[in-house]
Amino acid sequence: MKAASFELQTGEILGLFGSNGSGKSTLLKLLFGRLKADQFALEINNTAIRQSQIIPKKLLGYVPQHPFLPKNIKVRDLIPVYHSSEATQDSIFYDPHIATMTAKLVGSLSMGELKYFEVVLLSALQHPFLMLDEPFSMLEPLHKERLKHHLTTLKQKKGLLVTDHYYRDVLAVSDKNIVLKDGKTHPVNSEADLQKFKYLARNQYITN
Amino acid sequence: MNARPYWQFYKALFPFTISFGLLVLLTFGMLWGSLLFIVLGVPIGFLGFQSFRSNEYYFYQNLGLTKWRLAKGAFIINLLVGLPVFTVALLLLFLLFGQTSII
Repeated sequence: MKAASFELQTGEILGLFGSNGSGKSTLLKLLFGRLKADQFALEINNTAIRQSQIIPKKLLGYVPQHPFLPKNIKVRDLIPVYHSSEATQDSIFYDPHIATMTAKLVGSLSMGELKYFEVVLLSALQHPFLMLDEPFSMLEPLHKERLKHHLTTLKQKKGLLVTDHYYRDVLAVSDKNIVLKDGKTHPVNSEADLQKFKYLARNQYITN
Repeated sequence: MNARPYWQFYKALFPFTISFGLLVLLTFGMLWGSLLFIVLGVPIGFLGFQSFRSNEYYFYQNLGLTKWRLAKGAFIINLLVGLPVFTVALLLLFLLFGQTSII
């Protein structure tokens, strides 16, 4: 990572693209404060934020690529662990897609159910920004559409950073996009731009 | 403050802490075993969690709980679990041998 930078506002979805090993997940972990950077500057509302403050101040939420919820607990028991407010608990319990899985153990959820539950659970926290690492990977079309709809609704109150190799799903929901190439970020506006930065193969965006 | 995440974290450490606790209880007896459990149970639990369930840290960190805060919470809960065992051990020593010295 050499010179990665971007701006994100609440009400926006930023798509982040990059080849495997380009540093997308590293960038998210740096922003979340899980990795230390030699040089790092984060400002929220013109206030400089130290990496060590990001987690305790709940400034950025992070849905990692791999499952991170405790597995040996039922969905209905996990919700109150995360949210003490009854109104918030109810809003999650009565989400029509979660209501059907509340009696299941988290570890027994399908990939699509789990990802949707993870995102909804974190969405209801107070972070003004949420980062999602490969949220569409391995999801069946129905779950993808469900998730996209949720993200589009969620952006009304948060700023979202989404990275995924399912670039069309990202482009379908994002307001602006960047690609990480050679440790630097570059703005992209279309699939043609992704080809220009060699994220897509020549003519891939036409033939697909 | 919502204490449930701390309890959930302690439950995640528990398989590791209790394994260590049983080992030291069997090796060093009730008194020294419970003391070692109180002092070293959480660090051993952390080691196990770090090795086998480290991705679950994101669950707690999204709630604003750093590793340090989780450690403090787990240590307090472990103290609450371990102290009664330690007290019972002292009581048994006193009743059986008429003294509570641990040396």
